Amino acid sequence: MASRHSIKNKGFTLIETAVAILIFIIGAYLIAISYLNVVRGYINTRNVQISLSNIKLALDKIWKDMKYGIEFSTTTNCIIFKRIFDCKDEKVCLDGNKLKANIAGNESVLTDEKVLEINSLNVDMKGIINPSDPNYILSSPKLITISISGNLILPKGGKSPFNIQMSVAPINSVFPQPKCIAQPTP
Amino acid sequence: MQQSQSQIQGKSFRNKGQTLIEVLGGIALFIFGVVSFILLLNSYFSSFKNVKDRIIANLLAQEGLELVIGKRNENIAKIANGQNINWLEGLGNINNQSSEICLDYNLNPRIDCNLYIDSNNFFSHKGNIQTQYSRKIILNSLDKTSLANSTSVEVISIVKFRNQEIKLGTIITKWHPDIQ
Repeated sequence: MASRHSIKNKGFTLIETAVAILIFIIGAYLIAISYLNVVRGYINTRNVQISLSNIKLALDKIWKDMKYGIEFSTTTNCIIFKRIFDCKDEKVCLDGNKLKANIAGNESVLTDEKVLEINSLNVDMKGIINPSDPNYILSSPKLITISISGNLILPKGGKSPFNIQMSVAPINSVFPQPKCIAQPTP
Repeated sequence: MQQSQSQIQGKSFRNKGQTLIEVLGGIALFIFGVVSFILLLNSYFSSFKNVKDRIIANLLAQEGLELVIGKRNENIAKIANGQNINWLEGLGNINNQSSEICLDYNLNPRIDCNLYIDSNNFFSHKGNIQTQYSRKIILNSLDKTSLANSTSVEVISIVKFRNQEIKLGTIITKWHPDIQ
């Protein structure tokens, strides 16, 4: 009976308890730091994904329209062309920090300023044999290259710089007189 | 009496518990497990940051295919303008069945396949700032003849960055009404 009481009341010494609490605190601190890192990583990753989806969607749209476009020209921060499938003029421009498309007077914003900050839009055209020749095959550019640079917006004012480039070889650049087809108004 | 003795022995065994070392070992193992799991999760999310580089690499690989199509179209325009050139002129050694080239938006082949940022802020094979990307374009004749005599060619664009690789392919043909 005496030995039972002795075992039950033995407990831990103050040092043992202090060491255990210290180890627990260190462990809890490590777990908390790691967890915060995971949360931060998740938020950053989600923002990067949203920003990249936005720019990818904009570039896909521009690429597709230009691939089937004719009569290309450029101004400062803009590329202008005609869509072959509906004869509408399209103008893609850098306006402030966002890309905008203007199709026959209807303007739409292609990139979201909250997730993307676009600083520059550069356009280069190659392969024009004779710019004044009425034969379109000689006056049309065979390759149009677009370079877009800026920043992906991250939480707490963070920014991740990017420089994206795409080239388009317009399908109709090898035809003598490509004509667009005006769609009948409903 | 015998029963109560075994009960006492049982209680005594139950009350013995674990030693401090065992408890500490257990806690350490638990913390190690949790931290490892969180670090694994963190590295999983970090891998998504790679997406930006992969999207740029993908666009550069796609550009490689467009460059070859653009060069072919330029050659076709020159042929239509009366020049006597091959439809694959300027795309490497076209007397072989296969050719490897480094081509940028200037449509001039280069020896160095590394991509740089040039003074116009374009990815190019000649520039001041070297990027992590390099691009190589391979042309294979599909007609079992030299590229110069072929009418259809497989184009493969390979972009390498760090230890990763993006490979895209397409087929181009000699077709055009003016050069049949």
